[in-house]
Formats: sequence, C-alpha cells, structure tokens
Amino acid sequence: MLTIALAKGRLAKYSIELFEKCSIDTSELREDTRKLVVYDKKNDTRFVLVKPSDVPVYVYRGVADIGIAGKDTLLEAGLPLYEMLDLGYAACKICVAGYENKGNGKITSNRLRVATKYPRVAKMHYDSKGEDIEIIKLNGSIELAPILDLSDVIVDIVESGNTIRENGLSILEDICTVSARLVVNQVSLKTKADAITPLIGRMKQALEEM
Amino acid sequence: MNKLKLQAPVGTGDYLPDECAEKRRLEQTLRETFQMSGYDEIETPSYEYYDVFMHDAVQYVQENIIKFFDARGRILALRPDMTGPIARMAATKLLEQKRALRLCYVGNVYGFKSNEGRSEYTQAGVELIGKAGAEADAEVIALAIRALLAVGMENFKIDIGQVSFFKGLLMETDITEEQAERIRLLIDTKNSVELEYELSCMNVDREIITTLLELTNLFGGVEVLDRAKALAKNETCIQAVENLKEVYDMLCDFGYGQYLSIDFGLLNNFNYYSGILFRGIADGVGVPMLSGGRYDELLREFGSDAPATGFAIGIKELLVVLESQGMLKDERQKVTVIKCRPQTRKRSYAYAQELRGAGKRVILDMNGAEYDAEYYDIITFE
Repeated sequence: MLTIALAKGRLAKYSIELFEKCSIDTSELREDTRKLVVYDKKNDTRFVLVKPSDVPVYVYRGVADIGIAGKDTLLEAGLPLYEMLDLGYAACKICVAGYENKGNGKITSNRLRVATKYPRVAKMHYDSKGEDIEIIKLNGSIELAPILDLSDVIVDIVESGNTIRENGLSILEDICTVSARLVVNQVSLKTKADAITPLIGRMKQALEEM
Repeated sequence: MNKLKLQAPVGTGDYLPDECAEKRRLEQTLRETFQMSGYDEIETPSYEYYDVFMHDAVQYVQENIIKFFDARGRILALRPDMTGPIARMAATKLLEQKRALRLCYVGNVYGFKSNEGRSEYTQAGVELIGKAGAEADAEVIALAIRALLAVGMENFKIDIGQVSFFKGLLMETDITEEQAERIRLLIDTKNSVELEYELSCMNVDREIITTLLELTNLFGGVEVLDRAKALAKNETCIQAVENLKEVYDMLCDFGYGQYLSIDFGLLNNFNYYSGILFRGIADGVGVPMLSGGRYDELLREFGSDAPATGFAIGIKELLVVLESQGMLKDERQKVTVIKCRPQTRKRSYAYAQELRGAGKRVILDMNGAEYDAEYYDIITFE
C-alpha cells in the first residue's frame, strides 16, 4: 500500500486536483470529513491529512511514502528526502523585509535582529553571508515585529507583498522562490518503485497538460 | 522541577531485557558472520584525539561531534564513526605486514544528529584494508548481504552507486568546489528542478547539463548500466560504469542479483567515498540501515596509501526493520526456580549447579516467594 501525506489547507485543493488527473480516486478526500486517513482502495493507496509543516517528518520517517509540501516547509525541516517534482502551484518567495535605510541605531544591539517563522532558513541565509544575527522565532503576524521594534527585519514568505506594503515595510532581499513539491522517502522510492515510478510519471504528464 | 535523574540523557536510550536480548543475538550473529568470512574483531577507544576526525579526506560536521578536553587541554572527540579510528589503527600498527587486513567490530558511535534524536548508537561493520578493485568491493557487499540474511532479514535491497561517474562529469566543467557541492546535494536528493535552475546559472556545457540532470533519474535495475554507459563523457565515467558492472556481475554469480539495485545519483557522504558506495534499505524504517563504500583516500591521512572499503550496519535500524517484518522473537530460555527450605539448601544448591551446568537458567529460592508459572519453571525441593 502506498501512503501519501497531504498538507491540510491551501495546498490540499490543488493537490487533490492533481491526483484526480492521475486517475487516483479522490472522492473520499473531497468529502467534508474529519477523517485523518482516507482510502483509494482501487489503487491500493491511502491519504493521510497532516499539518503542512509535518509532511516532511512523516515522509522522512517512512510512515508516508510520498508527500506534497511547500518548499518553505522542506527548507525549514532540513530532512534528507528525494524532492522529485516542482508542482508549480502555491508559488511565492521567501524574503527579507523591513524598513528601508534604517540601521537600528542602538548602542545595546549590534546584531541584526531577525523575526521569523523560519529560523532555519533565516540562519542558513545569514550563515552563507557570514553574518552574525539574532533570531526571534514567531508563529504568525511576523510583520508586526519591526513595527513594534521587536526586530530589525523579518524573514517571511511573500505572495503578493501586499501585507508587507500595507504595514509600511519593503522587501529588502529575496532569499529564494518556493512552491509545492513532491517529496519521496529515500527507501520507498526503491522498495515501492512499482507503485511510485508510474505515479510520478503520470503526475509529470498531468503537470505538463495543466 | 526538571526530574533529570529519572531520565536517560537526550539522544541516548535504555535497552530493556526483551530488546537487549534481541540486540545481543543480532550482534552475535553478525560477529560470527564476519568472523566466518575471515574478518578479525578489533576494538578501539570510545574517544580519540579530535585530530583523527579533522582532516581533508573526510569533512565531518564540526558541531555534530561530541568533544571534551584531556588534562593537558587537548581536544578529545567521542568517535562519530568506527572507520576513522580503524584507519588510524591500521595505518600505524597493522599495515606494515603488507597484506590485506580484514577487520570487524561491534561498537557504539556518537554524535549529535539534527535529523534523528539519537546521539549514541551501536554499529556492527567491517573494513577491508589494502585491497583495491571490483573483487574487494564485491566481497564486502556480498558479506553485507550475508549478514542481513543471517539475522533473518527477508525483503531488502542493496542500492549501489559509483561516485566516480559524477566526478568524471565534474571534470568536464570548471565550476568551483562550492558549486560542485550544491550540485551534488541536488543530485543526491533527486531534485532535478532546482538542479536545472542552478546549472543554467553556471557556465556549464549544455550536453553536460543534460547528463547531470539525467543523473537524478539514473537508478533502477541492471538496464541502468547501459544507460550510464551511453551518457559517459570521458574515461573516468566509463571506468566507473565498468567497475560497477564488474561488481554487479560478480554479485549475480554469487546468487544475490535479486537484492541489488543501482543508483548513479547516490552521492551521500561524497567526500568520504572514492568509488563504489552502497546502502541497505528495507520497508519498515524510513532510513538506510546499512551503508558503506570504498574510501581510498582516508588512510593517506594516517601515513599509508592503502586502499580500503567497508560498511556499517545500524543495529537499532536493523531491530526496527526486523520487528516490522515479524522476525524478532524472544528466544530467551525460561528461568527455573528451585524452591527449598534451609534444611534442603545444600542439596538444592548442588542441584541448581548441576542444572546450570546442563545449560539451564536457574535461581534458588529459600524464602517461599511467589513465582508466576507463566514465566518460571518451578521445582519444589522438600
């Protein structure tokens, strides 16, 4: 049996459409249900619905063979997974944002203070520049941090940039572009190749037709 | 209050009797399998001078190594693997004999790992030092397969790669080491989308880009060898394919074809390995339970030019896979209780010893304590 981890929320809708095009029976998935595990018995496949940031964990540990997750989530998890397809949807960027031309002017703080939901991504970005920073981990409304002087900048996911602009901030730096990715467990790809390889082929084809 | 005294430290774990019995059984089976193949068991210290792990041949991640100081302020490191210490020992104390060394071990290795919680884990493995060529690679892979079969593993695969194919392709470019490392990582995670983007930003020949991209897809059965041959760009690539084919053919002749798969995109621990590399995978645990390969550069760090190859098996991963395949069984013998009174203790003790001599596990009870017949064989000595 093939187990697919799907992120609940905005990725789910696109993912279900994609699987539909790959002749997977998604009728149970479309039902408004509280079930966490749903089956496509005909294709010997089951879906588990998990929190987006948990998708890489399920796949890395091998309890799910494949999963769909945002690249931002994958970067933050930093787990060794096969990342085999860029599904294209849910595309956005991870950026550094803040006030333009503003040093923090503080005697007591000589390190850039970075507020973010993505501490690992932020650390990697500033590590690659050899810059010494202080990370402030937040879980939401990141834009608030520079406004209240909790941080100098933020590292966050940016779709249209509207929230950033409406709060008087600007994008200072692009870190990377992100979108939904198909990830595969490194063991499953080889031990369940008969099921996974054709599915990836069908997904690739469906993406080209979309 | 943090009740630390009630807990095992983060990253460590206890083995309770049920699991410990199985762990010992596996370790003993592996040890015997290695020894019956001509490998001699050795032991090295749990910790080494940090210098043993700090050199050009292998780049360990500094923060993953558990370090402390000796009385003279020198840095010590709990061994992050067995290969480094064995290379040190072999190069400085054994290799003057000028013959191939076949060494095996069962021991704990240490290190902080971000992906998995554990920082102490047991490995069993072998090193074949002083022997180059496909024959030596096939020897250790065949031994790895026999070891997995010996512990009762049924469904598993040995995924084999050859890093020289990728190295050969790199020779056709003039990208920097840093760029090469990024490309390696993307190939190792089969991330063709980002690989294509990265390569398009580098000054690399179009044909080489296509071949590097194809590496993410160059895995499967024996047919992969022909595909790889068609993609080879120079003598290094061709030799890599021929070397892998030779190893593959030899293992098929040994009767192990069904366990093999090939993956030229397998590039983990790249700076360690210099040729064939492989890992053992099975359903039941999401990560490889065995990994190994050829590391011809390492001994040079310790003053010898001996080529070497070997592998290590993660005992915990093996236990998890075997349990999921229903192959763990508690084979401990039931304990016999001899219940006696002070008047009969002399005879009882002698009888207990007689039973122990005959291979029974025996305890003697003089206080009339209760024993559950489900777990004990009870003999009453009046």
